[in-house]
Amino acid sequence: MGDSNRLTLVASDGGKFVVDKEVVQMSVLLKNMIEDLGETDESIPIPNVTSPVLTKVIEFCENHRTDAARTDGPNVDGDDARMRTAVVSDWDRQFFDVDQDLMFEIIVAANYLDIKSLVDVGCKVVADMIKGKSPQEIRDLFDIVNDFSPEEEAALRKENEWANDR
Amino acid sequence: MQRLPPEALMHVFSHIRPTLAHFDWVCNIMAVCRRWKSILLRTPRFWADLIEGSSWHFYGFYSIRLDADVWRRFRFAVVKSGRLPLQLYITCLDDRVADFLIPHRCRISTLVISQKYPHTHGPGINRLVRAGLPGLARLSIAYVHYEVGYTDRDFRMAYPRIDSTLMPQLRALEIPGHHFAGNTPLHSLRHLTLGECGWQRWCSCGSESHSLDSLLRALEQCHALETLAVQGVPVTHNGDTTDRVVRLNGLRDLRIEGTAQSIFTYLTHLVFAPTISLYLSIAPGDGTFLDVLPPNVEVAMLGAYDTQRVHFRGLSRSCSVDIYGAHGQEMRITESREEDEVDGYDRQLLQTVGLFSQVPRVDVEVDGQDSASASTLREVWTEFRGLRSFRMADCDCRFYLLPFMASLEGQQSLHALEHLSITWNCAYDGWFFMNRRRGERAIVTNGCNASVPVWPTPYDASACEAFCDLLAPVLASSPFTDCLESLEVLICPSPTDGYTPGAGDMAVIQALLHERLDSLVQELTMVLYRRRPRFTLSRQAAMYRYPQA
Repeated sequence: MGDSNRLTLVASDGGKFVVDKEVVQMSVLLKNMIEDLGETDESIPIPNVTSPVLTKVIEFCENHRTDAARTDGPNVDGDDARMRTAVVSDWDRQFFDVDQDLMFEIIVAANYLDIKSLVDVGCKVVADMIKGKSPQEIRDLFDIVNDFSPEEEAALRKENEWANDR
Repeated sequence: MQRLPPEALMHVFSHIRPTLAHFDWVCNIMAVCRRWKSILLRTPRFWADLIEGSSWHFYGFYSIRLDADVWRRFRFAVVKSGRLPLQLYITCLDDRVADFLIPHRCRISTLVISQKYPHTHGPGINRLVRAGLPGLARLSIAYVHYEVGYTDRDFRMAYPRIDSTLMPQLRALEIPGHHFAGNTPLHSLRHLTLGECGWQRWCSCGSESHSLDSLLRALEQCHALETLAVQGVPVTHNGDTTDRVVRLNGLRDLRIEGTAQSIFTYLTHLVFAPTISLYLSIAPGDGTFLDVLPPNVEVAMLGAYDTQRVHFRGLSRSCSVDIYGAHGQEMRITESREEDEVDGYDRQLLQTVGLFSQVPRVDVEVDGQDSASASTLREVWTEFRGLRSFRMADCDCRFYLLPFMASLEGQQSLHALEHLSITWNCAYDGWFFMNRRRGERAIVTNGCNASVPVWPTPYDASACEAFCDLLAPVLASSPFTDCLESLEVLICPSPTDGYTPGAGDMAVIQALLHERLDSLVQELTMVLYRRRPRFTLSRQAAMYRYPQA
């Protein structure tokens, strides 16, 4: 019989992670799964998340486990606004100081696992990278292909052609 | 990046928080690629943030072309914000704006409006309000442009009727006091700010319906009011009197700013719980708050600016009195003053002391030697029989310590004093103490700081011993010998030459003070202050506390 306070997560590449239930429950998806399964020794597969990404996700949840109690409960507008205006902490900024592929994979995983605080922090970090940059700078930064035709680009520059409520 | 699902990218955009001043961010994101443009246009939070984070000036603020841009961007953002609540900060809400907003009125949660001309902007806000604002939680209306020539009709149209059937969720209202009237209950209203109406200069706001009685009648309808601020709302006109008394049982915070007469009037007509937080601010040249405070007012906290002596003119002058707990716990008196302000404060302090002498626990903090006369201090000892803490900062010892000792003579009321803070300002006193050490007891006491020489190296062992010679007998005698738990020595660097004792000086001073005073108090600390010329000391100015942790 295993420790009832811990469970095993299995990443898409087969990597196994034994984690406190309290930590795992920061993920709404996993929390619901645990409640559905009840007391069990079965490991939980996370098919869309690789081991390196899951390692980072667990690291974040471990670090923010005490925040969970504070943000538990219904997500009211006030909380949402507070989250959006909150400054990204040094720890969080350092956490996301990784290569872009991993950063976006973490956000995608957090989105899939429904870990709101991780999604928020990740998106805030990306938003800060976007602010104040020209379209070309943004494309260069994130390796995005410009798929506008020259005519469309010219139209976009004329704000009154798109910013029209009618 | 392109692997991010649309909902995650929407989330990213919702953290951008654009403003009108950074509208280029909007254009830039839009121009990255088709996907981004499409997702941005489907992110209501982004557009709601743009609305909330900007002040929308619709008239006469920008050039005509820029005004057209602002108007277009506003409409676009409102439409794209979907069903999210709208927080609107608008200058000049006229008919055009009202017409546009009426279909979106159910989403408006905050409406802060700064209007200019009553005849052109008044009808707009009236139409919008009459259409109903079911989600409105905060409404603020003010006119920023005042001129002569308006008619009664203009004034009547300038402000909408505040009606709970039209705004059932209204929690906070900011409106000039002269335009706050009505007979219908405002059940949801919790926070009310009644501001000044600039038109008072030109007329009596156009209607006899605006009177003290009408204002009080409207206040009676605010059953759930928790905070009330009355800012510069004088009694409407001479002879405007009423017997009406408004009971505001739920009020937690009351702020009144204005003339002494108007403050007195409001305090007379309002009844509130004794645990209220009360803040009074008196306009210059109109008496002191003590002249207007009804003697039966029981307050938990009171802060007031005494600008009694308007002949100070350009000089900043503040005197605050914080009183915590007429029922309760403690009282603190703090005075801050410029060095060259003189006369009159003693009377003020004594009156304050006398008025609240029933408060059981009191901390008194006075800055400035002018407050330290023996007679003033004697009154403090007499009035405050529960005095717990006494702190006098920025005082020249010659004018403070000696009167302090003189004032203690025969006092039996200091049995509760636990904490004493004494200033040792050697920049002034070094010469005096050194003279005492040499047996010269003649002291220059002409009261003029300018004639006091600055001792070049003031904080030395000799000066410290002289200071201890003076203080130790005080601490060793009644009443301090039985009650005093802690002593704080406030050490002030010289205001004129910037001399600050170094670590070596402080080590010597610390050792000497401990040697001489340790047996007389349970806890001895030294505080070295950073002092700026013409600014009194404050707790925040402390540089080091000894012993250091």
